[in-house]
Amino acid sequence: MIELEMQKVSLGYNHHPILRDMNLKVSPGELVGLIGPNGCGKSTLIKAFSHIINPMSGRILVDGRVISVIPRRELARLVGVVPQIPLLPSTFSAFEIVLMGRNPHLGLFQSEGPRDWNLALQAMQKTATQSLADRRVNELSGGEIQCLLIARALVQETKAILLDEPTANLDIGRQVEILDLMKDLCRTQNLTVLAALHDLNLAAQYCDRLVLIHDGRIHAEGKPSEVITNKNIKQVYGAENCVYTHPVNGLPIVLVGAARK
Amino acid sequence: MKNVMKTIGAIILLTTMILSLLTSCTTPSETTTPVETTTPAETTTPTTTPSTTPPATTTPATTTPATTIPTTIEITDQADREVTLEGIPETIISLSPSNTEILFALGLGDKVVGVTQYCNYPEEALDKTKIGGFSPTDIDVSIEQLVAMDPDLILATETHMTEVVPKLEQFMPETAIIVILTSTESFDVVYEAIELLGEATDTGERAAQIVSDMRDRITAITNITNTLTEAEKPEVFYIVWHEPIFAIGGGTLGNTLIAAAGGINVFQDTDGAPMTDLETIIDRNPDVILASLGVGTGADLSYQFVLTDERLNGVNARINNQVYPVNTDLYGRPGPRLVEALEELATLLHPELFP
Amino acid sequence: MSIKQLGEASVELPKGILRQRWYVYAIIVVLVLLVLVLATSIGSVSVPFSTTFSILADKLPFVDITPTWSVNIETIIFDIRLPRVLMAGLVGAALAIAGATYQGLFRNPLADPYLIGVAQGASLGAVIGFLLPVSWNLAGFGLIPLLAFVGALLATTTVYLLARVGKALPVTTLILAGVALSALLSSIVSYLVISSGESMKAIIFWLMGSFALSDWSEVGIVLPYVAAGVVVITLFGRMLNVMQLDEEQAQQLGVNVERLKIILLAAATLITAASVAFVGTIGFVGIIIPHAVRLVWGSDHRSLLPLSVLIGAIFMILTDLIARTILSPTEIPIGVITAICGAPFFLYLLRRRKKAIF
Repeated sequence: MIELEMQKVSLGYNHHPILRDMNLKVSPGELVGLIGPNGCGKSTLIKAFSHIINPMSGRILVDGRVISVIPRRELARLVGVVPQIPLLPSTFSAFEIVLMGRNPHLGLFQSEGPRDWNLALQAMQKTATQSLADRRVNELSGGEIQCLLIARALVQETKAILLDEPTANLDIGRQVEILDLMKDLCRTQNLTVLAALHDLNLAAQYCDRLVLIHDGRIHAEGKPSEVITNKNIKQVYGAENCVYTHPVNGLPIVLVGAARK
Repeated sequence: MKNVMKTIGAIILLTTMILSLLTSCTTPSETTTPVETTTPAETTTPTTTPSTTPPATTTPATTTPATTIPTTIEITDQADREVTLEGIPETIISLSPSNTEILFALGLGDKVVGVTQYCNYPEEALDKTKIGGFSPTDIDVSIEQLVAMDPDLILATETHMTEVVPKLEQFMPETAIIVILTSTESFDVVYEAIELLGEATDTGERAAQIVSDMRDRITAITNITNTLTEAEKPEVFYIVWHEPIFAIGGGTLGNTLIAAAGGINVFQDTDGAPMTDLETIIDRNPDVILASLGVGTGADLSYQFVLTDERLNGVNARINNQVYPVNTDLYGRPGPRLVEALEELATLLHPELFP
Repeated sequence: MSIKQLGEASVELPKGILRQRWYVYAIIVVLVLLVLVLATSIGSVSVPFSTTFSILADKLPFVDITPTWSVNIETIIFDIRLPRVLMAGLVGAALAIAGATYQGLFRNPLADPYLIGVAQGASLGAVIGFLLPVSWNLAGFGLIPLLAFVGALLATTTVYLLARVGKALPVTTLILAGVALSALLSSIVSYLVISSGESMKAIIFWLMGSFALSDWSEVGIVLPYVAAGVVVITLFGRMLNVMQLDEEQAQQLGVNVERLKIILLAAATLITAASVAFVGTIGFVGIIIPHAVRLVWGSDHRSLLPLSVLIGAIFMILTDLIARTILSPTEIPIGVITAICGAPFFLYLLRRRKKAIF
């Protein structure tokens, strides 16, 4: 069980801050959603939490420790990342790519063994990708690749998982499956999950807490019903009168089309 | 810190460039010394009477002793070119070290106004103006300088025939150009060259003397070595360079010298300077090894190689301590010093016959 | 377990730490030895195969054969041919694994061991060595190999310093800096060669690469470098696999990317420099062999690297054999033979697209 925290962090590239004064905490067992308009810095935030970029100011803590002193291999055992669709080499099979998630657990001389193979197979079953095992990546669709990456993160056996738009290319059935899986991991294994989501409805349905980012700062934070409000949506996205209440569970839903008569 | 590192990188770069430029300056490169216009360009012919003496033709062995000063000399040079000299040449430039040696031997040292940078014998040649290089890969001759100096006579070689000679003929129609063969294996060609030059410069007597002296001394040796049986002749390996290994083969002066000195060149079956390898040398097991000195800047590297390399320990020449350095200039230049080379070689190969 | 059923798909599970069945390696190692003996038996002087075999066998510990051959033949076989063949094997192995490493690090199928300046740096050092008016021999380590080695290392260090950005070593910058520096050094080398006068033939011969000058002392110097380099590089086989993902993912999977780059670059450069310093620049081997190995055995670096070592050795021994026997005793520069082999192979690679190898 680990906690991810940002204290007064500003992030940017080339001395140009994109995010300022970020104070954020994600606790074990929580599924926190990062929402905000395109380009608001969600990916940057995730890169910061996986130590791909260094903060321009402030501290980032993983499990109470400053991220910059944690050796990479150890960090990779604590935090797993599901990136937005990256380049994947076609020289390895899908199975081998998922297996790469075991890298942080293997020593220099070590090679994967039966336990690693089993973990990979299970992860692929959980993400319904086991039938793709011997295929090459260039033959797969965006959605299939995304599920593979999730499987890889599962295989990494980390205490925290960061997801960057994990449902962007998935059909609705897959979307539900994946988010159900994440939710389940939070509950049963006390994982700390932070997911950048563009779909506000999914975010509202699945996340315990939402963080709305706008203009380089945290615009709103809290339970979905507190964050997804007409006022916030208008201020951040510019869309008016979109927020309704879900008829079954009372969570906010966002619908467009009301303005048109 | 980043900038410091980049500066260091740039400094290493600059140092490398400077170092390599400096090194290239130590290599023999063309020295272009300012042209000295000392001797007047025109020759001063005393008489103006049209030539009455018949043009001298060239036959290898004969020269006519000149009693009168001819005003026009016509000869055929060793490239079969018909050359006409208007009077005795007073200023001569040589484009090859062997020709320089011949000129000085004929007593024409004072008339020599230009030599190549490799002309190192006799010592007086070193003081002459340098007009370019002469080695198999560098026949770079400064045409401009030659034109400016405007000599009466230029001695060229067959390697100059493709580029240099046509240009000289074009830009210097008044100058006589004689081509002497330097890639030859025969002593006779050398004699012919000396006599030819003697004729062209009105030093025919001296030329005849040199040639007959050479003949005598050479015959003195070959008379003895020709009586030797095959078994009595040591097998000789003459190495020119060792990385890779180049040997002196057949059809070369070196080969002729070896044969005349009573030896058998182990590589005479291949003409020129064939490339070979250690295995072949060990297999042919020479009795005597000659190593060229004075090739390029690694002056005695080849000699050190054949003298010390352990893999040659089993070769006869090493077992009997018959590895000798030889002066390339002496053994390779078709000139009067060939005799010295032969005498030295004869003593090396047959010390009991030629003490 | 080797094939596992996963629903409708079956996955071939990797076999052990070297990712291929043990007998693949065993067969190839035997092949290396055979080629070694074959190449030692053939040369410009013909020696009966049985004699060669006996001479070599006699050198083995516990084996004693009464000589029926002359000392000179033994010298030829043992002091001239064998070290040469061994050197060819070492250099072939070194260049092949260095090439595979560069291709893996740069994720570029055209990368070769000379990419960041080793060849041109070594050439410059060697040419300077040829032109200096000194001759030198320090415990068998001649001036020219020393200067070539130093030149190679200086060139790559310069490229490294030029390309470095803070603590990171961006791959594209590295390649660009390497290409630029190589071009610069190459022009300096050309200039020096033209003005070298009598040394020109010897210099050009050296530049084109040759094993003609290899002896036991050189083998003794090169062997530790190559051995150490090969060991270090093969240790990181799995990491190189992970590196084939982009650098960000590799980092997120626990690979210290910058440190890995430096270690592998240093190791690959060192073994390339050591090879080039003694035998000149031999092209094609570093590019072709890794691709050939990939075609047959796949891109997993855990097998790609050791197999490149072995296949590279075989290839170089055979090409050297061809180079020195076709026009015996004249030698064709080995770079010519590798190019002749290499060019058609590239074309073949282009045409064959059944399996994505990169």
